[in-house]
Amino acid sequence: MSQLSLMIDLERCIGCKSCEAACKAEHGLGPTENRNRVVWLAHHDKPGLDFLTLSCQHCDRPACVRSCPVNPKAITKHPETGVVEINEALCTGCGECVVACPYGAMGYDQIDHHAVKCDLCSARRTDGLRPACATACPGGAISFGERQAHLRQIKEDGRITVNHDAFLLGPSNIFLQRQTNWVDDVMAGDTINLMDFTATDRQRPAVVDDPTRKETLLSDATAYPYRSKREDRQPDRIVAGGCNICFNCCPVHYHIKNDKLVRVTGNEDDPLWRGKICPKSQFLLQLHNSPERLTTPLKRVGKRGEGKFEPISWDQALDEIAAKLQDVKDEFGPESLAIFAGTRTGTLTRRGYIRLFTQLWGTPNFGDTEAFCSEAKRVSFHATLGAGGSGNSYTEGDLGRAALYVYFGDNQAETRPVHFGMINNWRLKNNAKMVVIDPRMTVTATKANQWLAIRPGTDLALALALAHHILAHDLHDQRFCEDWIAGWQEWRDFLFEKNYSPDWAASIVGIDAHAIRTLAGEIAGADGCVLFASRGVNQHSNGGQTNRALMFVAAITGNIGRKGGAFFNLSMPVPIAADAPDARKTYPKKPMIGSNSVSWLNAIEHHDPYPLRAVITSNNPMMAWPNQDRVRVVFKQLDLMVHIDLFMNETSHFADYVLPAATGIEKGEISRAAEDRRIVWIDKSLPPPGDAKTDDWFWIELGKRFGYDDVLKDSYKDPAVFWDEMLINDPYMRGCTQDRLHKTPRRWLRVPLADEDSEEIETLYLEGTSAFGKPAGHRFPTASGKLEFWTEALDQTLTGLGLSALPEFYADREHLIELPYVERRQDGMAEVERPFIHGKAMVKPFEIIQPHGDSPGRNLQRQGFDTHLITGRPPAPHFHSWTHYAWQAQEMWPDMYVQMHPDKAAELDIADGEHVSIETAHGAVTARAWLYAGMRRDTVFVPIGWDSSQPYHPWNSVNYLTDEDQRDPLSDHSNLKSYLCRVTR
Amino acid sequence: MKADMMKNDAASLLRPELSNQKLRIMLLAFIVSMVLFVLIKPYLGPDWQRPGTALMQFIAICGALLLLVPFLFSIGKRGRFSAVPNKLFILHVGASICGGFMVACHAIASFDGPPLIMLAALVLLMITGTFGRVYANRVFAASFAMKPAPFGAHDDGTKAAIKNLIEAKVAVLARLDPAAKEAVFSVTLGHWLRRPFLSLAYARLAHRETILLRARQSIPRLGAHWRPLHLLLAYLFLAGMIIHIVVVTFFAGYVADGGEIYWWHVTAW
Repeated sequence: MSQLSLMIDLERCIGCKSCEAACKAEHGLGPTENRNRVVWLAHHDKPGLDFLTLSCQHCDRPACVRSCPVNPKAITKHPETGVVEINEALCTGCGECVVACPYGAMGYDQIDHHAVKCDLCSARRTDGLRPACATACPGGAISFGERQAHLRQIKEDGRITVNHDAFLLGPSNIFLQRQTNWVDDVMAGDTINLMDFTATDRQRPAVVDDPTRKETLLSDATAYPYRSKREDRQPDRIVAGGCNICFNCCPVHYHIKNDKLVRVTGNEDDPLWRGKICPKSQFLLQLHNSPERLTTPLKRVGKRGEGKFEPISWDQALDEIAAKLQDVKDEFGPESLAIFAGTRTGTLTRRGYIRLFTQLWGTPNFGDTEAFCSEAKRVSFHATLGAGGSGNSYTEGDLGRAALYVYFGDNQAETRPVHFGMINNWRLKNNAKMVVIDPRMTVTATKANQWLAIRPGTDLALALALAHHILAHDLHDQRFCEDWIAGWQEWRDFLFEKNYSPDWAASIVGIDAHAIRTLAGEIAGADGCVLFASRGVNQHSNGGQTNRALMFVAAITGNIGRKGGAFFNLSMPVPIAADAPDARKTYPKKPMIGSNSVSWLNAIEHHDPYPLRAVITSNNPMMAWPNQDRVRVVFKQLDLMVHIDLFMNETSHFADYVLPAATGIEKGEISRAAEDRRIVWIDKSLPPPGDAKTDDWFWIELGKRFGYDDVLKDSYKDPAVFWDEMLINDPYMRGCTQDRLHKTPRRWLRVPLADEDSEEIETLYLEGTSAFGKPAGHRFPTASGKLEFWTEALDQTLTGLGLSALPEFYADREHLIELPYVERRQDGMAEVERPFIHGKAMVKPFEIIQPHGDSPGRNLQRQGFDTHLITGRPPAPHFHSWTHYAWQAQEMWPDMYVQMHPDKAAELDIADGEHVSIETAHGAVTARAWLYAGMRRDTVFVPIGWDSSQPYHPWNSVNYLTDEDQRDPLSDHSNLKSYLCRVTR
Repeated sequence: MKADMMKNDAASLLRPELSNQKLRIMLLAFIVSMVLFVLIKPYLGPDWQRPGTALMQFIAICGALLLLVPFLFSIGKRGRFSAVPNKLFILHVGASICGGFMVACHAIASFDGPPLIMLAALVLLMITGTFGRVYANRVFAASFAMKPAPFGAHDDGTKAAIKNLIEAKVAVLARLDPAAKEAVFSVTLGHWLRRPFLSLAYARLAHRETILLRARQSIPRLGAHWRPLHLLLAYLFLAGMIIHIVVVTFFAGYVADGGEIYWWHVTAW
């Protein structure tokens, strides 16, 4: 055997640190102890990031071996494989090898005082497996094999390697240079050469891998699997399932020993995923083993917000909660109970157990996080397509066939790293192009051929201008438009009438008109273009219409209902829902308080439109809801608040009862709503810790106290039984049975499946097909069978809200330039019923206010709010508050930060890593500065997910900066994204 | 290869570990013992009041012997004398603290003169040793992936110099240990004993290479230099101890400087 090595492709690495997570899990490494690390590197004055995955280079002349003073040496180079290995028994911990290695690739266990290093996973190699890092890498950036084979491959592919042998040590690992050789910085007009990678003049952001922030992680109790013996981490069973954290819904293997989760890996039996997995999924290991988990019911003994509780039994908790609920119901009616669920709660609980409880109880006030995440796109998809999301799939035969990928406000590389890895791979393989439109050069943008630094919240103007150019120059797909789009001519005429041209848009979006025209031409000309949007589009007060306009662009270019062409936006909701028998339902006498649960604040505080006195939540509204100052004041006024969660968080402190919950394999559920219609089943395989119970158990047991057990049956505590009996009654779902799910080793199925024998459909809505359950010839699941841009009925509906079926440009309320914005009508106009939702909610119509020279933004600027704030997801290891209880995520990205352009920082005399204050008209937070040239100079970015009750590095939630009243008229989606702020030291 | 991996796991079980906590406790015990000794010393008999009494000389000899144990560690780990050198490391710490206490008791009996330099060296040895174990290890851990130099601009001059050094090392190695490979070779105790001059020549070349690699500049100074400083202090202490023993044993007259020679000695020059 010749020299083994890793080959690391800088073009494919997305800096997600999944390899670090895999390495630590494989080798039981703890905080501060590394065998590999992904180093983030940025230029001070040029946008862009590179990610350098560093581990032992297994040098021909290893300096570490020569420096080891022990005889025989504690570090040796294997004569056959060339792998440099350490024998920890011989190591005295002197650290000479750490000093000697010029790559900084020698790790050190500062607790047990010995060196640690990469041995290319010798145990895995013996078992015929690849090293853990290479297996997990979502981007396919790490390849393992014989060095000579790598070199042959490089020659065949015509790739260029990085010369990193500065000291004639003969490093065996290979780094491939970037392939994308330019990125337009439209602000500076620069072309950036990425082909010649160098670390010279590159900086590491102070906020990543900060060694000074790791001391809080070193307690033994927080660090599983650190210090656990390898034999104790060998599973006695491996259960196929899925990750239940994000929309990527990755198939995973849960490794279990003696009813303890000992490892989470990607499912290598899945032919699409082949073991790829992001760090979040791997952190499930720490989630399930966290000593921070709630394990017993708690009852508040102090004031709300004080966080003083005493442990009580489940019986006492349930009896007291039931009694208080009954009191509230008797006094204020069943509608005075609201239930708020979300990400952690799980689909089965939300669409099953809670839904049944609300139907039996008689409250319409169930809310989840859709209004903070994806409601804008769901409504838009429904209005246009008749379904909640795209019909395409992440397969080589579908999205893998696109010639152009365009991301609007979607940082997929960090939010769904495995899916992005697939897209990036297809891009490189097919020589496709990638364009990213985002106010900051996200990790996704660093891989793109072009980054267009759009003004925050103006994507609607860009979409309109793209469509204008396409239609004005007859670049559209005429046949598709005529055959499959209802009202496209009305829209074309509207665009021309309004003159939404690239020249009109340029000053609004901050992108050169020529670049807009070029992009429009490319979208129209590409043989398959996938337009991605995400929360960067959804979380604005124009999110609904922006989604529609982008979908229209995809449609007129024939990129809906084809392979390799799509408009994608996050999840694809499927009809999973349990329904109580009609006779058992208690029909609410009052409408929902609002389709966005933030509307509940007025009901709690002012009894407007009616009193809301009790809230049961299995989410973290004290972090996730906008305007946290007000949320805290209002929640103190509740008669009853119950919080069901995995960890004590900010919301717990305001609860009367805190109930310990279960998740994932402790519970049995499906993963989140996948982007591409996959239902990934997760078996209940572990008991929850202590006295923690599943949410399902809670709702069934609470239901018993009200006599609901004929519907919320005891047998439904088995989620598999509940699934087959109650949740797949829709024809779309009927073939997705437990039996069929368990027959596939990947443990997922793609719906619709009419029965157990139905074929999975890779791409929906193809020409010549009919939409599932629709009459023949109805290609799309709308009433007309066509995509609906404009119909009389649609126009009537949207006009009632103050909009029109033909998207008219407006932006968020707070802007640095004068732009149209929306306000609720103040003229006494009657409320109208909100469309496109399940249930009935009334809403006050809006109106678009045209620029009048004294906009809210202008006023705010006069008050010193001179900078645009955008918010969003932090890097890949984090997801909302979940990962903040995982020590390794906190090791990687400990602190909330504010990303700002170095020029902006220089004006304010702010240094990288410094603590700064960010203030809006709605509140203030502090964070650490991250100076990054990949930002618009007028914009700063603050990530979500931190809250002040988290165990390692607490920070106040970014939602102290946001406003609960700024919402999208079409979907009631909150604007969580775009505000004016000021940053000070 | 699986065997290699299992070896590491098994090795971890064999390898005893002196935790930071235990080290702190040992040091605390040393300090408390010293304070107690100083407090009760006035109430002890005359044999405890002067450093050269038979009792104090005996204590000093015991302490000196214990303080030689670290040198056993140094030799042992370089000389294939231990399958698990960390056992010797722990022994070196324990013996140093016990020996240090005894020597300090001996020294405190007459707290003046040149031997205080040795006492100072002893204290510095303890400080550098503790620093290395408790704090420098953090520097080591924190240095992971913090050395970007190889990925920066390469210095052709440095490369050429290293190339020359490698050729020189290969030439010396052909005479020093013909079977050895330069790529992984470093001078061992056996080489020093068998071919000291060639060993010295090779060690100098190797040292020059580490300078060209800027190894000690690649991590924070305290982390990079505590060990060379600790070793230097140890050899200074060893030299001082030998000088002290020789002087009080053979030059008792010089030490007494006209006063009483009350300790065991060989000559009173």
